[in-house]
Amino acid sequence: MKQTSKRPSRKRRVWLRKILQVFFFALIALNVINHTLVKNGGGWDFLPSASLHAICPFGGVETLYQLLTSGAILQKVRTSSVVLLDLIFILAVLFGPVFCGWICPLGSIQEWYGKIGRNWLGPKRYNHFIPPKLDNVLRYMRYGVLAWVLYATAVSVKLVFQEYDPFFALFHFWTGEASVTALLMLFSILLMSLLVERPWCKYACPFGAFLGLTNLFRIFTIQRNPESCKPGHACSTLCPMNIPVSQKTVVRDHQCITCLECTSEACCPVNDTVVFAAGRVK
Amino acid sequence: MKLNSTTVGIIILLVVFGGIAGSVSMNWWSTEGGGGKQRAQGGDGKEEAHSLLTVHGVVNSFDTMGINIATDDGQVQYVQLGNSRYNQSIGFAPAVGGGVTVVMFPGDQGLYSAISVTVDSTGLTYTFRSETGQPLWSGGSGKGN
Repeated sequence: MKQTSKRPSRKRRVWLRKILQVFFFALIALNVINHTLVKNGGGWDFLPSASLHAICPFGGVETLYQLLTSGAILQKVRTSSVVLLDLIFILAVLFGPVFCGWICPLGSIQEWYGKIGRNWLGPKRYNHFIPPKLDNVLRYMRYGVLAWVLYATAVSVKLVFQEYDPFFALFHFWTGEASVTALLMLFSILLMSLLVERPWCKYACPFGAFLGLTNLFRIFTIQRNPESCKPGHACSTLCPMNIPVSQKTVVRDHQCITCLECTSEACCPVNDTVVFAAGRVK
Repeated sequence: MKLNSTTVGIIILLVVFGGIAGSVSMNWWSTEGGGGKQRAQGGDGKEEAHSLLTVHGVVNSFDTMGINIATDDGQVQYVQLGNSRYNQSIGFAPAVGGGVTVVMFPGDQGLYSAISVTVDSTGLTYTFRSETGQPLWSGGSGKGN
């Protein structure tokens, strides 16, 4: 009976995900700091010093039009962006948008801020403020953002999104290169994260929209066994993206970020009921 | 076939970190694709000295990051200004269609970066970088883009 307690809690952790989030956040932050120092004549030789554009796979998406039509890459975007995009896309076809749930520093920092909100409001109130009908509509807004970014970039042949990009602002707020708009976006997102988990990912992230499409055909999926499922709904309550996992047998929601927090390995109290698998598991 | 989170995490780490490490070793993070130009670097990883160019042209468009000019010899050139807040702070706002003289150098990825821009109509010169390429909005002695 304890296992079907009404108040869901995260007693178990997908611990490696937490470690990778910190690792990639630190790696990117140190790299960008070193890049700034090298530009100013200093820096540490033992650290990488690439520009943020060089290690941002979304640059690969932004330059897709130019790459396909002229074989060229946009200003500031590097070959490494396209290489990283390829690798992350292959991972997404296999496992879904793991970049969002395991790597993206902007996603991670929203999650960390979200912990404050979750502790403050409790797991049943936190992340459940927006009415479901409105929420369902707002979630498609990010495809509009993606379409605008692709169109505006193709027309202007520049990284127009940089002026609004909270990811760029997160790693350049001290250099003066981030625009005021981008800084305001970042500040708003962190503030909203206290009430809603990953607001940028859910409603506005164009790269999340791009990778989210792979949820429709990914090979490994989250699967729920209805026969052994107990009516605790912990999986639905604790899903950061508010996906009603307890109402599905296979999760193919375009918003899933493969965080695996809904699985029996994490919050589901019944073993082998919510699993991450390829093919149909019985 | 089931996978646990540890296996998924190890695969992610190997693939993504491998991609980053591979890009470093292949120098892909400092090169353009499609046979583009490689960033000029010295042995210590710092950019080499730039040769300065002076061009005159008409402003096609202007945004906070750069200006697009049609030069007198018929070329269209986008010139990076650099830091948008700095540009605003010095009051740089050239009129579209107005004549300008730009002193610049081939900077990051072969793009031109402005040292200074002189607006014909007012005669005012706006300086963005030192002649060695050091951005005026940042300290230190390095050469920025």
